[in-house]
Amino acid sequence: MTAYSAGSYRAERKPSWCKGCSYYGVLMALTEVLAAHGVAPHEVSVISGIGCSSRMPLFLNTYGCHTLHGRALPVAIGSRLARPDIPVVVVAGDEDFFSIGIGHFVHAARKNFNMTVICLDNRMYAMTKNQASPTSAEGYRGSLTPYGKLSVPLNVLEFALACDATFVSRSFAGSQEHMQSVFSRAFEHKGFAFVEVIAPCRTFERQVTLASLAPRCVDIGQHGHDPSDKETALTATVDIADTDSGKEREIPIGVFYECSKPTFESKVAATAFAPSLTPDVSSFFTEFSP
Amino acid sequence: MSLSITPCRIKISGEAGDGIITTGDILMRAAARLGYYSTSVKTIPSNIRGGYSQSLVTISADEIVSPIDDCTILFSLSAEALLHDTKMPGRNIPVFVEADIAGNPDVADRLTDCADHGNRVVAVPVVQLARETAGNCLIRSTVVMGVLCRLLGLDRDVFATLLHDHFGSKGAEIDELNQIAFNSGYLWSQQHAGGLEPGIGCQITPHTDDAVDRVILDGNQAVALGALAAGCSFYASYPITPATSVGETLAGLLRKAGGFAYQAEDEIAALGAVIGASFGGAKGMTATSGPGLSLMQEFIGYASMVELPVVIVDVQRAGPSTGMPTKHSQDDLFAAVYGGHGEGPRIVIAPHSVADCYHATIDAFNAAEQYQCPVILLSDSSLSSTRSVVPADSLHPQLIVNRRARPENDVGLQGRFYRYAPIDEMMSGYLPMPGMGGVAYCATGIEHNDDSTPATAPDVRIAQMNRRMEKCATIEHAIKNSAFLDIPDDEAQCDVGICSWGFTVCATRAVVEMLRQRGVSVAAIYPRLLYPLCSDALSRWIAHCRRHVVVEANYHGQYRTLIQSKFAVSVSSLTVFRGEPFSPAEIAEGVIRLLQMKDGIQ
Repeated sequence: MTAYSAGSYRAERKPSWCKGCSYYGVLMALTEVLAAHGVAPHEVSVISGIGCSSRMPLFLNTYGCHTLHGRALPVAIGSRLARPDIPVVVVAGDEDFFSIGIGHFVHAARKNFNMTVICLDNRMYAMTKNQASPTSAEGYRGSLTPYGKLSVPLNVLEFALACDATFVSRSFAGSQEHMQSVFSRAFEHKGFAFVEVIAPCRTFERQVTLASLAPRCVDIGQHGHDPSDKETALTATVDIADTDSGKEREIPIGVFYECSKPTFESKVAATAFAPSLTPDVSSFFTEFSP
Repeated sequence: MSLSITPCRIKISGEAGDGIITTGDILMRAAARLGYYSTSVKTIPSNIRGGYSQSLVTISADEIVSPIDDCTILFSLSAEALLHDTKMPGRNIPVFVEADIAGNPDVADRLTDCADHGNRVVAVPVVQLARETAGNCLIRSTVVMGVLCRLLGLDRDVFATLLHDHFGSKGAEIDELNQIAFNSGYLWSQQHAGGLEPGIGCQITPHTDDAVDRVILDGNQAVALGALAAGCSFYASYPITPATSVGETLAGLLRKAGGFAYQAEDEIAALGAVIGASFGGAKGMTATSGPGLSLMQEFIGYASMVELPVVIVDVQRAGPSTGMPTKHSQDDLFAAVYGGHGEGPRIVIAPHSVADCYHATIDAFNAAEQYQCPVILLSDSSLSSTRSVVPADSLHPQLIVNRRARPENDVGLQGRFYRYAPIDEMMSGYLPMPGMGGVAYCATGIEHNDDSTPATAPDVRIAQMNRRMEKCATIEHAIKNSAFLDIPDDEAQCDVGICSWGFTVCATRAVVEMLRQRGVSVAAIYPRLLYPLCSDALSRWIAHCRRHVVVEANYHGQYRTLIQSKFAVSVSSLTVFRGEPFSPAEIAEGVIRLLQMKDGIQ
């Protein structure tokens, strides 16, 4: 295995995130995990949507595709189908995956494409300066909801389980050790591996910080959670919808569910993967003879 | 090409569900098997069952210029269809009508009118024959086939084989009943047709060249075959009329040739997947119709911005909104050229015949790879549903442009790769794909400098805009046949210049011949490359004519507007937007009216 370090994956350009943003830690964990797996930087694609978190590929020197708001998954799917030899990491925010792009999430998860899907969940729209997102708590005051958010938050882990994702997990941007452990398992998982990373925005959210969340984040493995049991996984996700209320409840993190099912790619004949075709079209003319 | 041989054009009409389309198909296939050129054009309502349905079959010893024209034989099975098809009765053709409807008062009046105008009206007891011989009136269109087979003097054994091919899979009984129904029609026309000798309504000139290998394609199949020839290995789509059969055909071909067709959850995801595949190094395509094109606009802009090759086929139907999903229109040109926000490079190509759907698709892939930008292929519902005999040797593989390979030992300028470097350096460069070391880059829709770093400085913006917008400058001369110019040999100015594009070209070409025979001097241009404008060819056409008219099937005169946005010339517009294509007679009438308006003569 060629020796790569986390720095092998970093672009020269500096991240444009705010000073002290929780996403720096995610960037570090991701590069550490790629290095630990010995993946050459030019042999992996990082594909993202639009938003603060989706800037990630610009700060890496892997192949990158910074796509449209909500549309990272379709591009990732095309990339997987054309080049199943190239692993894909998808990075986007909670509003990108679960507001504008939620329709794509359902199908990408259900079809079990082999990709690592990391949602950096800051429970708001940060790049457009603080609006309520699907994961914001009810009553959250965003700039477009001065009366407070009038709907309940989406429990994205429960949703991912309902979409039949084959790996469903949550980590915490305040713990390198935890992120690297979960990202590693997600990267190694054969199938749609979903990781929600609790990663608060320090510019628009003063109350909830990495420091305030750290003592509350407890890995469910410590309670003896069995990730092979979907029912238990569903129950375990119910508890965590409201991390923003200031209530000092425990926030379960870790791998909630993991199962082995054939990936979409594995159901496609090996002959289908042919980036360059030079067929003799005349051999197909008989199909169109009178 | 000669128009002196009148092709035989048979229109069969009735209710959707009557078997009209199958009858037309078998008739055109029989003619093709017998060595003729033939086409069939179907008109179907936008529902599954009921409503006016017709098939127009043209049979000729020579290649057919226009699959749309006045019929030389009409065979109507329903009152509604007969009334629809005989509004202009003065054609002096045989009109066959189902005997059961001849008693309908409206029909009777119309038939009298037809007879008064020199048409020969023949009532055929189609339903009765079907019921008496096959015990099933659902089989009536097969009786029609038998009648027509004898009247046209075609070999009945060929029909028997085709009927067996078509109905054999539906069980021995149905197969047998169709043979019986066919024979009953054939016998009836022998016994009861009186003066109706074979050859009535047309002269099918015996063909001489039956050694040529031929295929039958509709426009969508031709697009699929062209994509395969161009090296397309990835297709993604969402079902939509009238584009679905592009994918149905291509999915089957890719399954055998290698490559994959992916059914996405919507049109946005379809184009997203094609972009992802292109990023991965594959040649990719999607096909859709107007509503899907609207949904794809954001991703089309993205492909322009990140400079990835993709081909988007828009099989146009009459919009806006749901509009008329099965009806003819050329109203998406503005959306193809100007749709979406901002300004980015796009190429728009329109095929003008079924065979050209094959060649234009190859041109689209080549242009996408050459210029690294989205290419929109504008087909339409008439091309998609017109079946045509195409000589196999005309489908020779042409020049195929592939993604530029990485030069040996090239790790870019100063050991670093600048994906978006100034245009001259970039055009000698290449488009990397994951797996290639030393040239990894990030594709981003954010304005960026030459190494993908987000940038908004005015000088960067100007450089990147110029680079993107100017890179297609050479395209008119890079695409073979970007426009067909048909200018008479004597270099004198012509009375009128006619321009049309897409399916309308078929009818227009027939009209140009006709006008010349009448002594009108005409220069014609048929652009295939619609955008960027093929300016050199248009300049020549404009300079050669005193008056100019663009013939197209939309309300605005969209291509006319494009021409006028570039050239200081007044161009007339001849349009239809009723959901049916132009007939040659309509175009001729419109052009003659234009000449009269300007001159006060003729």
